[in-house]
Amino acid sequence: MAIASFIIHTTRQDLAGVKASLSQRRDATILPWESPPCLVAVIERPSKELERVEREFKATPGVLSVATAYLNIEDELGGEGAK
Amino acid sequence: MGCTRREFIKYSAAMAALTFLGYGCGRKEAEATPDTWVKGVCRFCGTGCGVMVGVRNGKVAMVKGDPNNHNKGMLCLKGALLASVINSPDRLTTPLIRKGGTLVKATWEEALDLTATRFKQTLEQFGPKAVAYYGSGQALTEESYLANKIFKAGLKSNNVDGNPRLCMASAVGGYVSTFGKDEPMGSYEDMDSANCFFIIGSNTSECHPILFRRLAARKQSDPSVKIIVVDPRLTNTARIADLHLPVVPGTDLALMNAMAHVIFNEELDDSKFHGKYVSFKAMVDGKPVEKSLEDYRTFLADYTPEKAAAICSVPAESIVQAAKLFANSSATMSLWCMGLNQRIQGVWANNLVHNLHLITGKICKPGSTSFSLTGQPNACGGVRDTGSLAHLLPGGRLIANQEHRNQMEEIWGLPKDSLNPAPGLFTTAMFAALGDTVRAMLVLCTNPAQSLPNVKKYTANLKKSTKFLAIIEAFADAETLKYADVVFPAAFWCEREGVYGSGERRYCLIEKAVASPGEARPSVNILLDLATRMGVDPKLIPFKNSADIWEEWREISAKSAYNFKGMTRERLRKTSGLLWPCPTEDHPGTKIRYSRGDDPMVPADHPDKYFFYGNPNGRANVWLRPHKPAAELPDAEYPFILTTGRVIDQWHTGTMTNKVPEIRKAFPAAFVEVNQEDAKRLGIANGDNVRLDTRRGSLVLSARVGEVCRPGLVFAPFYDAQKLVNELTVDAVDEASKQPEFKICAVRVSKA
Repeated sequence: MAIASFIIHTTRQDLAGVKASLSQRRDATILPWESPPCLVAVIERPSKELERVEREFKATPGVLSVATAYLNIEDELGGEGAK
Repeated sequence: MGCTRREFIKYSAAMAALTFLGYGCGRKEAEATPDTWVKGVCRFCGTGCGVMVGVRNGKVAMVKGDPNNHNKGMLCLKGALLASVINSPDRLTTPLIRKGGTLVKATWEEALDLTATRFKQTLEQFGPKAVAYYGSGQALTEESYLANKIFKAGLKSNNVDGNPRLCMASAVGGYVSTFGKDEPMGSYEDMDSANCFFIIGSNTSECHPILFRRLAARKQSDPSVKIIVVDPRLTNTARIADLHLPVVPGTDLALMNAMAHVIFNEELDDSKFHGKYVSFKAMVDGKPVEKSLEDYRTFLADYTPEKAAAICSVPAESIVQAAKLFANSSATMSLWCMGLNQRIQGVWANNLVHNLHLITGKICKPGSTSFSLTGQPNACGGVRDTGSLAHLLPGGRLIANQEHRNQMEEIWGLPKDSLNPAPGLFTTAMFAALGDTVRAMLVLCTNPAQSLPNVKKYTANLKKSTKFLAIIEAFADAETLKYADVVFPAAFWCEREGVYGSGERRYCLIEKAVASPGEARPSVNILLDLATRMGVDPKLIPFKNSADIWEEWREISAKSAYNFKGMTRERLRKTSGLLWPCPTEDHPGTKIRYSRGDDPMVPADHPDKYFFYGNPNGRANVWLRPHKPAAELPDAEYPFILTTGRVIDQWHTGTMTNKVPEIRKAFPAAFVEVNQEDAKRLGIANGDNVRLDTRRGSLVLSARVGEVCRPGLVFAPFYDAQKLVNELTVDAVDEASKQPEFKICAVRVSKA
C-alpha cells in the first residue's frame, strides 16, 4: 500500500465544502490550510490507484488544482516492480 | 511522538505538503510563534534547500522551507526536524582531553595548548608530512578554506583531505577529465524542462527527496516525459521509471558504451555538435592520446547491445530502448550519485555519462545537462571549490602544476616555489599512515571511524599510541570520539555564520540565529587559535571572523573560472543564494555554463555558441573507456554482492538524525535487504537474523525480504553505529580519484 500526500487548492469560500466532501473518504486524512486556501490529503492506497485518486480530487466541486507532495511505495516493492 | 514506521511515513507525507505551505516544524514549541525568522540552508544533503529558522527565547523553535530558494518552501522531514538536532542534549559543551584512557573535561587553554604543542613537536621531529587535516563536506566554506590555507600555506603540509573523497571524488575526476573544470554545467531548474531523465546509480527519492519531488512533478505535468533508471535495486526512484534496468553492480560501463553504440548505429548522434565541440581521447600507456571519431566507433563496435546485455544481465532490447529514449528526447538530463562515484571505475563511469550527452549534443541547453548529485551540503562549495583535497589548490588548481602553485603563492603572499610540490595523502592513505608516518591529525566535522571503508583496518591505527588525534565536533556520541586525544566542542549549523555551496553551484549564506550551548565555539575561531599557537605566520591568517575569510576567498575567485567576486556578504544576506560564475555585483548568477550568452566566462564575442574553456582546445573530451570488473567479485566462498547506502529517514552515520526521537523510533537499527528468491533458497524469512561474512568482517542484521534487490545482491545502510556495515566493505580505490568502492564487495549470506 502506497502512502502519498496531495496539496488540493481551492478558494476561501469553497474550503469548508471541499473539506466536507473529501472528509467522507475512508482512505484519506484531510488537513485544511487557511492561507493559501487549500487542503492536504494523506492517502493510503495501492500506487496503481493513485492517479485515479488524483483525478477524483480534481473532479471534486470547488477544487482548483491538485499537486503531489510526497509518495512512498516501499511496502509494494516486495510484490510488484516497475512496469 | 512514539510511532511505527508506517505512521512515520504518513507523518512525513503530511509534513512534505505542510512545509510547502509554510508550516514550520519544531518540538513542543511548534505551537508558539517565533520571535524572529532567520534565513539559512538545510544541514543535510547536497540539495541545499533553503530554510527559515524560527527562533524563540534564543532557541531554534521550528524550521520551515525558504519560499525564495530553489526548493520553493519545500523540505523533507529530516530538514523540517532540524530543531531536534540542534537542541539535542548530546551536544558537546566543553573541551575534552583524554587522561588515563578517558575523555575528561578541560579548559579551552588546556585543550588548545596541548593540541598546538603536539602539532609543533610533530613538525619539529618528523616534518610537515607527519601532520594532517581531515575535513568535511559539512563544514562551512570559510572553515574549509581556512584549514586548507593553514596546512598547505602555513604548515607546508598537503595532507589535507576530507570525506568528499569518499563520496564525490570520482565526480570531480569525471568533470575535470571531460570538461577541464569541476562542477556541473546546469542547475536544478533543468528538471523543469527536461523531457527525459537518465538516472543511474542514484536513489534520488530517498537521498534527495526534494529534487525527486521536482522530478516527479515534471513527469506528472507532462506524461510524455520519460524516466530511465539504472539501478540493481528496485528503489522508490525506479518505481516511477518508464524503463528500469536492474544491471549487475559494476557493469554500467558496458551499458553506457552499448548505448553509445546504438546511438551511432541508429544515427541518433548530433554530428554537428560533436564535430565542432568534442575531442576523442583514450589513455595509452598511462597518457591521454588523441583519437578520432572513427577510432571511437571502432571501440564501440565491441559493445553491441547483445554483448552488454550478457555482461549487465538486462535485456538487449532494454539497452536499445534506453539509448533511443535518451537520444530522441528534445532535452535529456542525467542524474547520478554514489552508485557511479563509489567505484574503482568511478571516474570512467562519470566520463561515460558525459559521453552520451556530448555525442547527442544534449548538453548546455535548458533541460539538457549532465548533473552529478551531491551527498553533503557543502562538499561542492566548501571542499571542491576551495581545493581542500590532497591534490588541489583553491579555484580548480592542482598542486602538481607549478604554474598553479606559483599563482597561489603570489595570491597568498608566499615566496615563489615555497608551496610543497608533492600532493598529500588521500583519505584512506592518510588513515593507513596514521600512527606511522602521520603522527598528528586534526579532524573537523566528520566521523571517519564509522564512514571509512574496511573500517576496522583504520580504527586499528586510530588506537595507536603513536598518533595524536584532535577533533572539532558538535556531538558527544560520534563514533570517532572513542579514539580522540582532544575534543573541541563546535558551534553547529546556525550557531555561527557562513556559506554553503550546494550541488548546483549555488552559494547561500547561513546566518547566525542562536548562540552555541555551553562553551562551544565556531570552528573558524578554533582553527585560528590553533594556527596562532602553532606559530603560523600571522600575515597568512589576518581574519577576525568568517566574513573576513569570505572576503579573501571571494577576491581570489576572481582569478579563476569559479569567479564569484560579485557575491558580496551583503548580497548573500539579501538573497537566497546565487549560482557561480557571478563576476560582478550586478550579475544575476549563471544557470548554464560553457554557453555564450549564459556563462560570463565565455566571451560575448566568442565565435562559437559553446566553449569548453577548461580544456586548452576549447573542446570537451569523449573518452574511450572499456568495461572493467569491480575490485572484488562474488565467488564460491562469497557468492553474493553487498552494496551499501542510505535510507530516507537517516543521514550518513546517524550522528544527527538519531537525535530526532521520531526518526530513531521509526528506523532504529540497520537491516539487510535480501531478494525473495535468494531468501527462500537460504531459508530466510522477513525479520530473521542474517549473518553477512566478507573477507574483512562479519555482521548480523535483521532481514527485509522482497524484490528490491535483484537476485544475488544484498543491501545494507551504514547509519547504525551499533552495526558498522563498513567493517564489511572493501577499501580498493579508483586509480584516478582515489575514491573507495563502497558499492561492491563479495559477501556470504546465511541465516544466523
